[in-house]
Amino acid sequence: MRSEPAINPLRRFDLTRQFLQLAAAFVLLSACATQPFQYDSALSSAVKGRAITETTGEVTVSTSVPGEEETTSIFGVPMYERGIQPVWIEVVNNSDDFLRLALSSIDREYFSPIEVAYLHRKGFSKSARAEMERRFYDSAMPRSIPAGESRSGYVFTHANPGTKSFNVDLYSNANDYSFAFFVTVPGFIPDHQAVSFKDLYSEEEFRNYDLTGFRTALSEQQWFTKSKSGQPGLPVSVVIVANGLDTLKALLRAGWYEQPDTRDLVDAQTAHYMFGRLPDASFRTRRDDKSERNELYVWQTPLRVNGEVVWMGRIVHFIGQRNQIRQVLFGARIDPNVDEGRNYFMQNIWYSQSLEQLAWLEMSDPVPIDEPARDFNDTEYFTDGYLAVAWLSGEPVSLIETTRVDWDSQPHRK
Amino acid sequence: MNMRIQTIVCFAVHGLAASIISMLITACASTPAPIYQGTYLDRAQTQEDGGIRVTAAVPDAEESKRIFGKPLYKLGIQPVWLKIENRSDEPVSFLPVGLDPAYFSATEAASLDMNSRRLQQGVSLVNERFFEAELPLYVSPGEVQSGFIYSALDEGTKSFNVDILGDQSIVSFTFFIPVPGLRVDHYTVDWNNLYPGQEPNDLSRDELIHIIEAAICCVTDKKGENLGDPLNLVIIGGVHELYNAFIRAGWDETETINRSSLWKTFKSFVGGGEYRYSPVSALYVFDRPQDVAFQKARSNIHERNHLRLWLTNMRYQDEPVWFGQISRDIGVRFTRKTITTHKIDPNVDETREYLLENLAYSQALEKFAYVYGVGEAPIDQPRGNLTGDPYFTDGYRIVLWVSATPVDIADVDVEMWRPSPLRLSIP
Repeated sequence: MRSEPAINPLRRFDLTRQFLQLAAAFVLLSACATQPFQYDSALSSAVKGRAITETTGEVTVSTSVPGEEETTSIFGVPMYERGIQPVWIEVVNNSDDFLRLALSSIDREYFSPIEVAYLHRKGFSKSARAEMERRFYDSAMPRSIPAGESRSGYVFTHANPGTKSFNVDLYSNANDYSFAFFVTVPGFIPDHQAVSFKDLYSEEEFRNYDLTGFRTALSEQQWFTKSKSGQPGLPVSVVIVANGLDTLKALLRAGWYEQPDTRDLVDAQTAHYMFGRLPDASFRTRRDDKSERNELYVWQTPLRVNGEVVWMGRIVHFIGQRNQIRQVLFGARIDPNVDEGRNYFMQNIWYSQSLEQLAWLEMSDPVPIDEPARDFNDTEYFTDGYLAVAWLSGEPVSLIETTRVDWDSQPHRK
Repeated sequence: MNMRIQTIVCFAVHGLAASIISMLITACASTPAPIYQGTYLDRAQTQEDGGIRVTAAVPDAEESKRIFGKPLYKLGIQPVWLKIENRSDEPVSFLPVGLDPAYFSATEAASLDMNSRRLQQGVSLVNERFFEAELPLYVSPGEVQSGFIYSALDEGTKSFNVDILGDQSIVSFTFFIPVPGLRVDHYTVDWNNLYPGQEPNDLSRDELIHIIEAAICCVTDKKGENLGDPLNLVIIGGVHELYNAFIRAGWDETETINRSSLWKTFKSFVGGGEYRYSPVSALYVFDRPQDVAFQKARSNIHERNHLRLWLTNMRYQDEPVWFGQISRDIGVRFTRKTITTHKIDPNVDETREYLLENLAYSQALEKFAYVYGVGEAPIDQPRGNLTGDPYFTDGYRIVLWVSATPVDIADVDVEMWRPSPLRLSIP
């Protein structure tokens, strides 16, 4: 019997990492810590200038998120590289009551200002470090907003690519206020911005249905992705009903991040197509430990139901490595249980209060686990053959307000 | 049989006669193994509500390995066994995202840390053993379903929700299940004998405020000679409420110092990994080290929040009163005395307010109040802790009433014992 290799690749990777850490520590220790602390406070006004504002009663909240380059200029350190994204907030309190801002509403595990300064201390002189600490402390958003006054400042959150989605919760003796924001961040262009949605279909191509007609239209064909040359790919297991902005808001609220446009880099031979094109938008969720969990690819269809836009969604669940570094080094595989991605998606959007209505459709015979099928890339899969239809909402829907369309009962294993 | 041996067996069959080939090929397919019934079921807990009866149990590291033939704990996966009995007259669904928003699928749990051979598309990832052992999500009226959910690993006490969705209703259960394997600090505390021969001291509101404001400002060293971090927390609630509240809010228990925990700490320190249950150093109040420590790791061992608590002999409205200290570790630094130590965020009030929000947003807080007692230390005249780290503070302690059962954030009460420091420290 062949023995294990002396050092398996994963272990070798650990050793390499430890060596690199030691080497990095040595370089950092030997570097001269004399750098002065320089920043550009003027740029901060550009960030504030494009703030978006919402008002509830006598309370007004404005917010803006500096992009990566702006942040480096404003704070003098490359914060995004450490996964930290500052969010600028201003609260105008025209009520008669003292307001308390819950920083945790913006990010449950926000960074404290002095923590951010301390994380970036390397290479700076002692006086520069003190100056930096004080600047971060002074630029932080305070929790207290006295009656009739306004306060502004930065909250240091975990960075995510694309549109920044967060809440701002404020509490007074008499009232609670909750604001939901979706803020565009400069320096990042999501893939869906490269698509001219109004030119995807001509007026004649659109088909608008009522609910019954929609069910029939969905049932008339099996929904598969295809290779560029038209060979069958993987089953599409989710249909989304909502206009573009509501879909985006619902997905952001559920923790799906936008992705940059990589259409030019796609390998046309292995890519999945629908309606003769690559996806119109793609999104990712990830675990806390940064291991990627799911990718969602969305295509706008020519179907409409009661005037609302219908999208086809393919969810890919990557498995095989427990973190992102291992995925890059060793690659990952697609979960052969294609229903898993669908089931996760449905729960995820429901728990995120993004699901207004749902329906299930039994589309085709199941592909059982003991006789998996293969797509044009030779990717194996099995499925129960059900399609989930999700009406998404841009505004939060409480968990028990989600309604069900009485089509087929949800899939269940005996 | 692990995958490598299976593969080798698969190669061997090519040279054999046809009848034997078919037998061996059958053996190569991953047949579901009989589920090992270990002692974890003896630790099962059952709850019932609205015609739904849920039993939950959590196998420890060794049991998980025996059940699934893989060291799941080492891969960061913890199987949770559930039995759902539907005694209502409508079908219900179980939602794994409610138990763990980042649960693992059966195939994923079966194939974590793949080697390069299995990464090649030819090797099947279909694993019936994990798939068959998985809990079916749909339970018809009168039916019973049982099986595993593959969740992210939490050592010590496993806390999770089980949400069951009916046609027009949600029934939610919360479980706290201790899992053997960690030597957690509070297992060794004899709660009834911390104050031998003393009756608990039941206090009125004014008496309590007077005593906690007059109490020592800070923790001390072992000899009680030097003052350290400020005692900026007072917690009201029993041991049960305390644990349920902090675990629900995402805090981890702490291991006692022993050979295994020291080794894990060292590995985490050198490798920069996350050892969530790392022992914490002893700080002293009432001439003894903390009774309980909780911690909340962020990205690595250097960045975490630490919280130490001491049970007092005081009671307020029949609830035990605790003193506590919280700090946000923002990195590690070298010292002459202890070689290395955690650098704390000098703005200790910021960390105190973080805890208030953390408990409130985790639905673990009933009410809160502020009292004096720490003594003010302005930013330009900071005080130092035992390892020489500076800190500044408005001088307040926060009083937190913790709850074992969920409390909506909108229902959290404020007791106006002293004016809120947030109203005073306005820049």
